[in-house]
Amino acid sequence: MTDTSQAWLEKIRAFDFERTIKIMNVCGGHERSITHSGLRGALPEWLELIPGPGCPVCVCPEEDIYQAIRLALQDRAILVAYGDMLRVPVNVPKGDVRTLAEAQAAGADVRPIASPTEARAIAEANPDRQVVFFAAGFETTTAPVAALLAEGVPDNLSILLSGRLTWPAVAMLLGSFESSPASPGFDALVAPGHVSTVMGPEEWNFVVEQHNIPAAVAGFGTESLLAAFYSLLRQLKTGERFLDNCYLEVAHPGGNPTALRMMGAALDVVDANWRGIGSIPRSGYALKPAFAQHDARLRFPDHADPGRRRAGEMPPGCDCANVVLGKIYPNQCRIYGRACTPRHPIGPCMVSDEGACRIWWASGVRVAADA
Amino acid sequence: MNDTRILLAHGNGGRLMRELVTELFARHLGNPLLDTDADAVTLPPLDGEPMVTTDGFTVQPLEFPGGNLGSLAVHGVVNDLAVAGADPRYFTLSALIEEGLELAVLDRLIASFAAAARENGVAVVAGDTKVVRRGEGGGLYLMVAGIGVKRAQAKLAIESIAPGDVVLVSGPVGDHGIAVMLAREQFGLSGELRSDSASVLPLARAVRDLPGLRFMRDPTRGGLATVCHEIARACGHTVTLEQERVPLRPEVVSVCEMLGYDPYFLACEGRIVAVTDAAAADTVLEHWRALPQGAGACRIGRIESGNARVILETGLGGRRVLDELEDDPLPRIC
Amino acid sequence: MCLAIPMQIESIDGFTARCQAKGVWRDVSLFMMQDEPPAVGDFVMVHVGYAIQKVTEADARTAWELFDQILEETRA
Ligand code: SF4
Repeated sequence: MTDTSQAWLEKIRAFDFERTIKIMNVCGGHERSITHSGLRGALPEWLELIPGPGCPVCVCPEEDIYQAIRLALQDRAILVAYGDMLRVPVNVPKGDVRTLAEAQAAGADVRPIASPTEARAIAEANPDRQVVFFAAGFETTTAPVAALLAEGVPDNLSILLSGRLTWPAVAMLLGSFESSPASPGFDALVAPGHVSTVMGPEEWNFVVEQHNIPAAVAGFGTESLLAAFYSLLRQLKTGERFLDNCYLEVAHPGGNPTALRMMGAALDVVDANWRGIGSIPRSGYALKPAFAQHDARLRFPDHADPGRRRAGEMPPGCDCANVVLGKIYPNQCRIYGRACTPRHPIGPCMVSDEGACRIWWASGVRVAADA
Repeated sequence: MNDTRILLAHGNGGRLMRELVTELFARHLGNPLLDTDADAVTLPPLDGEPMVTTDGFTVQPLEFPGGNLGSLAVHGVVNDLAVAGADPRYFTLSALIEEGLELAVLDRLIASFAAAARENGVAVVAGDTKVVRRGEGGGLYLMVAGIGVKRAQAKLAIESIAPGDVVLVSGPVGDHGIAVMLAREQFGLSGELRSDSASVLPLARAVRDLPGLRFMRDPTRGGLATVCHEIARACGHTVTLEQERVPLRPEVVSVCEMLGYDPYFLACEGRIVAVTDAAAADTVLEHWRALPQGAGACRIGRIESGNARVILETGLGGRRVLDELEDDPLPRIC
Repeated sequence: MCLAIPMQIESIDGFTARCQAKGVWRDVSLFMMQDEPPAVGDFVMVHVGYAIQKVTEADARTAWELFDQILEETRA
């Protein structure tokens, strides 16, 4: 561990807060860094880090995953996706194919990729097959999809886009708490470093300006994260409020102009469904009509089955929606650690490495909280 | 043999098969005990307690920086015997060959198998070949059974591990997993990292008589964390690893950062994880570090009383549970 | 999801850069860097195979560092 991390840690420990301070992050990458470095255990007890709606896998609509599975199984498309999406279960009767990984085992051609350019390469290598790129993710991951479209893609490649914007979810969260007497559930916000890198850190000003909540953009090293926590705590102590940028080396003001232009040219911002949470206005991306010939939603049959039980819903008993919104702790879900474990995940939050339930599990919490 | 590739006819029991066995396999593997015409061979009596093990091997690509399927198969079986405290003696080899495999490749792999066997004092005493249709095998699968003679003076019992014991590793972990991944240029990544594929026999021999040595295992697929889980389950205590002490090569760290893998689950093919009592740890390390293969040996953790689980202690003093491998982070590599 | 990491550019061919991080190479698309094209030797932040930004030197970790510095200077 670097000395600077230790130094930041000591500065944080020097604060004295009488009450619990909750800092929310909205980025799976942050959550990963926090868990992997064991930060929670190193921070003072009065400081609580809560994961917000930052796991793209967790909020990807169940219907989209179902559609991807059907495209691979029924339409015999080569289905390419980021590895994490392969294990998220959909609600189907026992014995049916529940995940993309199971579809692969059942003979479908499902391939994990690590870059949109691989999707293009696979399409070019299989000119007589249809290739569908199931692209779930936030702004950072959606921007390369726009770049791919701008650069040009082979005819046989279509995109099943499940891109989401992060800030509207935070805005909704803040809005929803304000309309109810309950507190916002967190005292300060760590804004996502790579989303800010692409979109510009300024996107997060509203947290400070409209809600008077301290905010800081952080990178993914412990040093940047700890600096952000320090900044937020000092803002809380002094009453000063501003959007701090603790990731200056990468999150430049204004974001990435090329990426923003390409996203503007290829994608529309639309109302979008977040799994378990519902529709959030202007929080999703859709391909512009000019790219209709590459839109898997238009190019393939819609496999939505109105008769399918619990289509689009959370699995029975799963409280992921409240977990994702940071309203309850993962182990307050009644089936946490009982029916739902990483071996047998019920909800999406237990699947992804970035999911709050999985993260709590990894940090050693093995039993459900007593209700 | 004039063909350049394996044909189905190489498996039909006729002339081509006989030529394949005598001119390729027996040419490399020949020794006084190997009789390609016999149905079974008689082995001389062993001068100690016999130990036996078996394993199957597959890897893509068949040849990778630091090794190939042939040497990998020998090392795999030698290592299983070595960490159990034995010297390897006799192997059998069963080869499933895919139609279309280049004979030159097969020749290199079997030559490498033979060389690795010789280096470890092993005689191949029986064998078999089968040819499977193109598309039904990954080029070549090797199934190897090994017989060894128990030599260790130390008791070597996983159940004897107790709180206060120390966990050691003989070198950096995860090299094989990342080396073959880079060799495949999987996910568009490439590099020159060499696999750690090697016989751990010298390492095992160097320490197997030390009284404080409780247990040795060679991490393979599933990596360091999986061995720690086996230890935790068998002894019923907590295995605590210190993140900062676990040796990792930069390339391994780099790929893990890019793809979000945990290095502790990546395959090794030439390392030993040992558990010793606290007093013996330094002696084991000294013996290991005196060998070229053990230069990077170090202490990486300890056994603590508590539940049977594996904890990773981070540099900042946090603790994280290393769960048993659930998902397959890498497509099967061995 | 794949993580973003800094990589150093070793060569550039059109919109493709050969990048390295600790002995691992990857072809990285510079297609999203057209407004601020990086040069050989530069570090870029790479996410899912695309460079999303140049990595520059940061002079402070948080605005408080600058604030404290100014405070100290005015006191001195
Ligand atoms: S424990 Fe499982 S079911 Fe409960 S909220 Fe978490 S993921 Fe959903």
